[in-house]
Amino acid sequence: MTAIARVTIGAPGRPGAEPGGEPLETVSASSLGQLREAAAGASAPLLWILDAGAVPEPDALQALLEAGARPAASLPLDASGAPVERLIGRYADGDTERLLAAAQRRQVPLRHTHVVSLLVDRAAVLELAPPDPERYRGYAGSEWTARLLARHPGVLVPASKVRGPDPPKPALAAALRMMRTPTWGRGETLRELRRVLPG
Amino acid sequence: MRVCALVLTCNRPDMLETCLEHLRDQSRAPDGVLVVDNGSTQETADVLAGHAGVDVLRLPTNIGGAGGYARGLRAGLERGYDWIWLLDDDAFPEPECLEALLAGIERAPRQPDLVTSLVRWRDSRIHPMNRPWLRVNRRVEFAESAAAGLVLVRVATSVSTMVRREALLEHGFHPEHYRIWIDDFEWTGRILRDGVGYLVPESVTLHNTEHARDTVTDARGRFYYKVRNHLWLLRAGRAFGGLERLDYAYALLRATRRYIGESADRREALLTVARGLRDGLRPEPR
Repeated sequence: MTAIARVTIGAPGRPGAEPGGEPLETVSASSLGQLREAAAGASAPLLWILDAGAVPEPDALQALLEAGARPAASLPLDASGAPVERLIGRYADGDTERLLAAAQRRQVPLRHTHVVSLLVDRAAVLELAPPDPERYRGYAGSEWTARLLARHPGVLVPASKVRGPDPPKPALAAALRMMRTPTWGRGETLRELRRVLPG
Repeated sequence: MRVCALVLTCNRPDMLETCLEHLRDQSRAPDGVLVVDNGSTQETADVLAGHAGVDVLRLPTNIGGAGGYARGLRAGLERGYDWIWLLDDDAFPEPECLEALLAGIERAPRQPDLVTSLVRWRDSRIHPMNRPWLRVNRRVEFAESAAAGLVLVRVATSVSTMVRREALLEHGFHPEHYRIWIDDFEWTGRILRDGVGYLVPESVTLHNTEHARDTVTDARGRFYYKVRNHLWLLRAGRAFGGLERLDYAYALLRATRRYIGESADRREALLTVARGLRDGLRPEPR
């Protein structure tokens, strides 16, 4: 049994970098909404969830594995190699000690993130209600990871890099729906609005 | 890279002695130690006399922390140092504190204008008066700094913060007329508005205050300075703009509500706030 299944969202799985030449089990889902079914169909205990438009750098998975923490997300880059702020999501900034400790491990704690490249335990995916792209549109990944990370504190690993995809277009109604879910605490709405609104 | 440790003291000879011992024990010694004596009595002079090689700038009267630091920074610049490391006399840096700050500068993804230590209290919690203001809203730069084991900051306090010569030449010093409190926010806020500052997590300093208080819970009536200086900064300071200024205004409202709510003598607390509001709304005595 392979230890890791690569779950490609939005298109059939593609060949790519593999840790130490070990073959990955490949699974695909037509959308984020099908993520849980895809996870159920995988046998590996670890899932590397990749957006179909994401192209991981050769050591992206290795860096996620070495981070030790899960979920662990890669740093999304644009075609020129510059990090894409809007795809990073938001950092878990409520606990200064945790932020400082994570920096010493070269990581940043996450509050939520877009699903571009995420290493997560399969069991954690199976225990959550799946993302809902119809309701939350481009923020479905953020809404889902907010729930995921509330149960399983995870990190951004800047050493793990993937290129693409394009960030979602701002959709205020979907963003507001996301912020009205119980996962969002009081006082977070203004900060979230500032993050999702253009400009 | 020539580093000057700048220590501000006022009538706390025992603290000053301990602070100087901690500087002497640094794994990477500062290239110079400059003590600004803010109008202390003879006891402080006696302590300083026992430390050969320590440069002393003696001020005839206590002009407050803001003034003391401003004068000390100016003197440090005149002596040609590349970096000036600020410390209160009750700040005791761990032995690797300076070495870690310098290592942080070396590995920083961008040239920092300022680096600062993690400041803890006696029970090892982060000192509430020196809690770092992290710049998490700059997500890309924050991730870059984390990749280097550093934490991007928006402002820093005067306890174990080290500032680059060029930043001092461009942005100047603490606002002396603030006297105490918020002066370091105004100053570092200005430097870092368009500049770069990092906290180096392995660089640790003990801030040995009697109580672990912040500007709100400090019970010595100093909240007057908090209100007055906060208003001055909001009205005319160049540290914050746009949404940051709004956030900072909201912070004053929250702090005031907390101060009044937690005060044992509400009437006295209200009078303190009223005095701060009155003077904060007057023109700054520049």
